[in-house]
Amino acid sequence: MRQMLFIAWTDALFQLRQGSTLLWLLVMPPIFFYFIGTVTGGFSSGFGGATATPIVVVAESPGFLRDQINLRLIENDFAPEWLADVVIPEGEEAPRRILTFAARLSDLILAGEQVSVSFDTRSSALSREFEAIRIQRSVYTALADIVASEAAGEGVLNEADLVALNAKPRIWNLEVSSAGSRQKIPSGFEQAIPGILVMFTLLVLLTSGASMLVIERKQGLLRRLASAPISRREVVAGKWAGRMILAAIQVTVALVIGTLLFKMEWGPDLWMVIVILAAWAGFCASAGLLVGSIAATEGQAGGLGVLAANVLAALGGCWWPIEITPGWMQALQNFMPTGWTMDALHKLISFQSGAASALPQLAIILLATFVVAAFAVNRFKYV
Amino acid sequence: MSFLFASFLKDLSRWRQDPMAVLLWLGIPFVIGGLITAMVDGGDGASPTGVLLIHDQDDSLLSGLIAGAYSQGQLGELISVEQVTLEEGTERINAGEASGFLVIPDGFSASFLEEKPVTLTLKTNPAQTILPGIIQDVTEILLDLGFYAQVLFGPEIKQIQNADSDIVPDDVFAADIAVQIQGKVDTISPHLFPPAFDVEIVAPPPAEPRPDIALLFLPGIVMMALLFAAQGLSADYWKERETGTLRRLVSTPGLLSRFVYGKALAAAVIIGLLGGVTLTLGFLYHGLAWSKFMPSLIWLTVSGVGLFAWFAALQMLFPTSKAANLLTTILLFPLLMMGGSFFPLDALPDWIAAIGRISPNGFVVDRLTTELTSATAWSFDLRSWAILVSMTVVGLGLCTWRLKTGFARR
Amino acid sequence: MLTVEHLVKQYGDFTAVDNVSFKASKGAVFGLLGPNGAGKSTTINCISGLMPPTSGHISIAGADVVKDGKRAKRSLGIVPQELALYEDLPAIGNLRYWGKAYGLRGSELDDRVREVLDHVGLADRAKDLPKTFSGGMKRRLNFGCGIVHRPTVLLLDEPTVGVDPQSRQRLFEMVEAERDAGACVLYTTHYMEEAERLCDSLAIIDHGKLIAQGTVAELKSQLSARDVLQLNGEFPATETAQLIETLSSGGMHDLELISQEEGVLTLTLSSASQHLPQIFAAITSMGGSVSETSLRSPNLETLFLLLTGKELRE
Repeated sequence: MRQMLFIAWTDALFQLRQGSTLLWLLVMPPIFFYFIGTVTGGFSSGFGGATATPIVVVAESPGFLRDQINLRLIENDFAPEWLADVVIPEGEEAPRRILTFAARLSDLILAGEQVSVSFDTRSSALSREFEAIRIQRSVYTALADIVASEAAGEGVLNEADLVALNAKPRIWNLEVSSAGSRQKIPSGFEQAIPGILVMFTLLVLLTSGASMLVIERKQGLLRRLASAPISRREVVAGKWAGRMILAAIQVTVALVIGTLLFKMEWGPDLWMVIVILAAWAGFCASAGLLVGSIAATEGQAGGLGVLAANVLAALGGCWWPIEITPGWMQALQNFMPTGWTMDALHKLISFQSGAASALPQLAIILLATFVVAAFAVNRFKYV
Repeated sequence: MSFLFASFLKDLSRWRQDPMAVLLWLGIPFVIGGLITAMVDGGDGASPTGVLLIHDQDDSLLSGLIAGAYSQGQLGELISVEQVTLEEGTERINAGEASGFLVIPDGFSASFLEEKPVTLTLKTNPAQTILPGIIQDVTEILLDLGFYAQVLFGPEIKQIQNADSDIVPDDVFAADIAVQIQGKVDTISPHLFPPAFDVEIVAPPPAEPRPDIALLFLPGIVMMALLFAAQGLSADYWKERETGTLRRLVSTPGLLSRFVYGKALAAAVIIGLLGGVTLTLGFLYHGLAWSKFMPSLIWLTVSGVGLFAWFAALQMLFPTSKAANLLTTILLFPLLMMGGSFFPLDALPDWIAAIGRISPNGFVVDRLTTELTSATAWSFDLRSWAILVSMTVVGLGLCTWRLKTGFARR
Repeated sequence: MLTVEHLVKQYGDFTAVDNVSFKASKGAVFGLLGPNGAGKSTTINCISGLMPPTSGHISIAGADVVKDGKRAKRSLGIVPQELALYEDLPAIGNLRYWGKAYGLRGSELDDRVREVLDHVGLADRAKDLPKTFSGGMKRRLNFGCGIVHRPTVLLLDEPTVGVDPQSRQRLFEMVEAERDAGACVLYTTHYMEEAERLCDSLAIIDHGKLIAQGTVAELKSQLSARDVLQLNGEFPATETAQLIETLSSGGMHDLELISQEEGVLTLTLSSASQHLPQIFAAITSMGGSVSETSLRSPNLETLFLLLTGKELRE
């Protein structure tokens, strides 16, 4: 046992002295958390992100209907700036989004004439469609306001009618809440962090953890270890434990960074989250040992590690919202170790379904850990 | 010239001994690109990916209309609706087996007639990002429609409701209602048929047709492979230093610049191979015009050599290979992220995309995306090519300078 | 063929090579001897163009290494101490590449590469990768890369470090073959027996300075056929001068104290073995004692000891 711990501790310390390990342990996680969380947070709010989308509304003498249209634009997450006209000085760029109404739109509406509206956006192809949908929703809701107010009112439509309509209580209301026990719907970061944490642990162990074993074999250090009074079992267990220490550090750092920097809420069963992540760390340690035993060169270990980590992460739902993937990918997730871990974390963090809900996933992760570890032990070689 | 060619052949021959490295660089775009394409293009395309559970406590025509609205049109392709009991729905949404669970309460249709507010509840799956949002938006639109319908025809409906149910309504009553409704229809018709607001969404310029989303990922993924290759290839300078061949080189009359160019040519072949294979598959999959293939390949190859040169120059500024490798890794991933290799530039927040477009790889990806998604032929933009070629030449010059000023002599 | 004149190389305040001058002729092996850190490698690096000298002049086959480096390098071949091979390029590929670096082409290159492969004994391993070679084979290939272009000046920097005896012998034969073919060979080593076997003339360097130079015979004559006697024991420091005087006047006229350190006394005199009893008696009488004795007949190593007061392999 002492020998095993000695090997484990030495391995972990050696790895922690490598700049590349520290880079992946400490520097990359917050960068990835921020980047992926920001971008995927934008996906969930139609690429508009959390802030309102600026838009220039051009309308000469719009009349009293201006306020109603303005209200609907704001409801659809726009930040309108009303102008009578847009004059673009030479050398300057036109506003990114321009919504143009025909002049005297209120008068035209009251006269029963059609008002031409055009929306021109220089946003990207991905954002353009979502913006168009929101514009149409704003304008046609305003039209519905006009129609309803006029029909309900007496005489010609006026501002008071619209105010009355706005004040009228809605008969049908929608109360939206998050399933499970969680009160708040998770933010973009809270969606992204568990997945990246799971992926990073695997990535670090499959690359650094595996490469180190290959280097030791190449440099003859394992050969020397073989001739030391330490059993093979102790050596392999020690190597596994060293990687486990590394994985545990990775998980701890990511937990701390996620909590402190990104205000991640882990739910009331944090202890179970830690247990799941510890089990995951064990799996990654076994996988790192296996890759290190199989790979012939450092380059192979690194390359295989990167590929495997990315594939498992993608198929396990670490990268993107799994619900938008095809049925076969969603089904495949059920067979991925990353998928089991993500499933357990969703139950504990997103749904807050209680510690017991993650027990099946824990069991299967532990089983997988033992199976992979058995392969690793079998393939472990000194030279 | 001969020594340049000798250096080129030497490096090519050496990389042939390590095909695994090249295969891994190629594997990355295949795997990641394949996964993204599978994700975006959906496989069979016809099966919905989200489930909306509905528990209709009202069980009325109106509530049925609401429930049926989700199965219409494009929405019906995205979401499948299942009618469930309250217990089943609660259990399943809490287990994460659906995107949303909508409960239409008893009294829903009555509230329309009696103008009594009623609240529908929608529980969303917190583990999902996009579909719950879509379901929420659609539900809100449907409820808005109900509100407006109620405002428009509420008095008439109330009259009908208030009529003595024991007495069969006479013709006068019916005519009266009909006239009121007709009056309202006459009032609102001018605003609706055609709609008072004629909304035109200005179409993008012809050079910018609506691209296939999967296509938007292609340039970034190809660049990912090239960046990994450029980093890996540039580390060879350190390998040569550690094996002593750089020192030997300095004592020969062979020019260091030719040595550098020879290495760059070998890098060009490898990068060209990677780019060629990935582009070929991308062109086949997306049905792109083959007239764009060669310009795309040349663009990528030159940029790949430029990236290789700059990585190499940076590596040679550091005292050890470990430190050098660390630096390039620190640079690599932010470049990948900001430069459109993880997500298309168009999908990034504006400020990140702005930085990405001026990053070396982002500049290349942006140009390539523009050309590949354009309906017109590849446009020769002199400015872009001038920037690319000059930066590549400067990078190679820096490598030569660094070799001469000490890197090769240790 | 190779001329080094007043060569100085400084690194800041530290002078690695201090005013070193020597000439090496064609068809001869010139040895540069010295312990580690003496300045041998720095001298070689300056000659091979790896680093510019601080001052001084080096010419190879009439071309100045600094002013006309390219022409000078065409005549120069190096066999560095550390292997300088492409491990992932076959042996023949390594030779062809370095041949081309020196301007060989076409059939001339092909013929020369074949010749060198035969010469270094690797003809049957031409297409194999050096990473599959033994250490000795790598050294031979390393040598081959240095001579593929038929240099008129060949620098060998401690080429036999870590080499098995058979490969070492082979290397010696190859060096001698180059010399016999008319090349000027500059050979650095800290193995005296190598220098004695190979070198026609040599220079001894220590702390950046040349402390002796000449043919092997000339240098040996400096020793005047004196033995070096090293005594380990206890020797009262204050009595040593008296001891030397006593012994000198007792018939050992050429007795000389080389060095005296804690517990070690080093003397030089001719026919030392005949005077041992006298020396022991004198030491005992002055209150000292001898626990160990080492007697070496005159050779270059003892010459080095004589000149520097320390062992060559410290």
